[in-house]
Amino acid sequence: MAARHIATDGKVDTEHLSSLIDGELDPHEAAAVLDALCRDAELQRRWSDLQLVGDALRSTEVAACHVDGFCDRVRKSLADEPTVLAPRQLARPAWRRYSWPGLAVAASVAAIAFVAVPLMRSPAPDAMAQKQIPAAAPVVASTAVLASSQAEAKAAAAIANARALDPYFAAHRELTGGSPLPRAAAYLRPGVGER
Amino acid sequence: MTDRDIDQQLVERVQRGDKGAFDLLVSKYQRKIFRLLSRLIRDHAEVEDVAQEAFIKAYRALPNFRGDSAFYTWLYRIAINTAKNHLVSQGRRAPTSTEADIEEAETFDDGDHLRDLNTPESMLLSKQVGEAVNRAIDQLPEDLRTAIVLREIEGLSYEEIAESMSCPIGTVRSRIFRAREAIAQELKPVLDTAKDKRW
Repeated sequence: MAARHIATDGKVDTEHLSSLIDGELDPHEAAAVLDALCRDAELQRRWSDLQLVGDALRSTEVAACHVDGFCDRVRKSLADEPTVLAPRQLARPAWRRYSWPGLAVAASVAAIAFVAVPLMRSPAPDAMAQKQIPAAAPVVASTAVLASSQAEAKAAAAIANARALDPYFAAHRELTGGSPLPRAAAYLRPGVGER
Repeated sequence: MTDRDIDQQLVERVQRGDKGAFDLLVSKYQRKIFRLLSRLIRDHAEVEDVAQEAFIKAYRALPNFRGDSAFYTWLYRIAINTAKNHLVSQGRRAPTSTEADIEEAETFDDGDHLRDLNTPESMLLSKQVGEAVNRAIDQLPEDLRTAIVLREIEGLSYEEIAESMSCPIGTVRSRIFRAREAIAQELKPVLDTAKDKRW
């Protein structure tokens, strides 16, 4: 309702100030009231009165600290002060504000992908062989048959290799005598562990 | 828009070169700053000087205020430091810590350990202010009294008060405003006549 009053007659009165103090104006209304308040000495006086009433209702001790003319005194002191101006932040369009973090994230992802993807695409040769067979199987039945025959051939070759090692295992068994302890245990000096 | 938002709006106006907006902050917070300083400095003339110095320091430092804390919290620290420097420059002992007071920056609560700084004059004036407020509230019509009490004492929003009183929000706004006007009328003579009897 206050907004309609301000918008239609452009006039801000003490009732608007009261609503502003209570936080009952939306940002547009509040901005309009603050604009008027900063220009109008009478509104400023009423603002002071309302603030005093608020202090008195909340704490009589605080209200009792009121000093008439103190604001004038500060105003006069500030008249000699150079006007303060905070360095303004550069006005950037919103898309630029939000695009930089997005670009940073995209760059990070691209860098990780650049390093990781080639590594993921070149696994160990065995793993590649294992992967290729099941991957190819569902595609074409004949490929599956070929793959299984290749696997059988590999297994046969492995068995042949194992047989070639038989003389070595036989010699090892002869040396150790098939005992759970190697023959070298006979040369161990008793009592070593008791020292 | 909350109280802190309003302060921030005023601060941003000052930062854009509007000195008038700073006057509004001074008139809003002067009494709280006086009350704070009067706990540290007994002489009320000195309190006024230190308060003025604190506000001027705050004005100069305002370009650096970014709104990370509430404006009053920031102003409060400036006032405390100004008071400490004042006491040191006078060869008096400054309080070593005001940690106990930090929470009070956002409230009006008084610590019991600070009550002994009240002078008989300040207690009398405080009592007179309380009587004036009570008298003003007692004289208000029932609807105005209910509205202002629900707002200031119970802290209800206009919408909640409107529901409670079964009336439009515009009516609530008007009643609260009229109640404040009435209390201000009752209060001003007390504070005007007591000008020379501070603290």
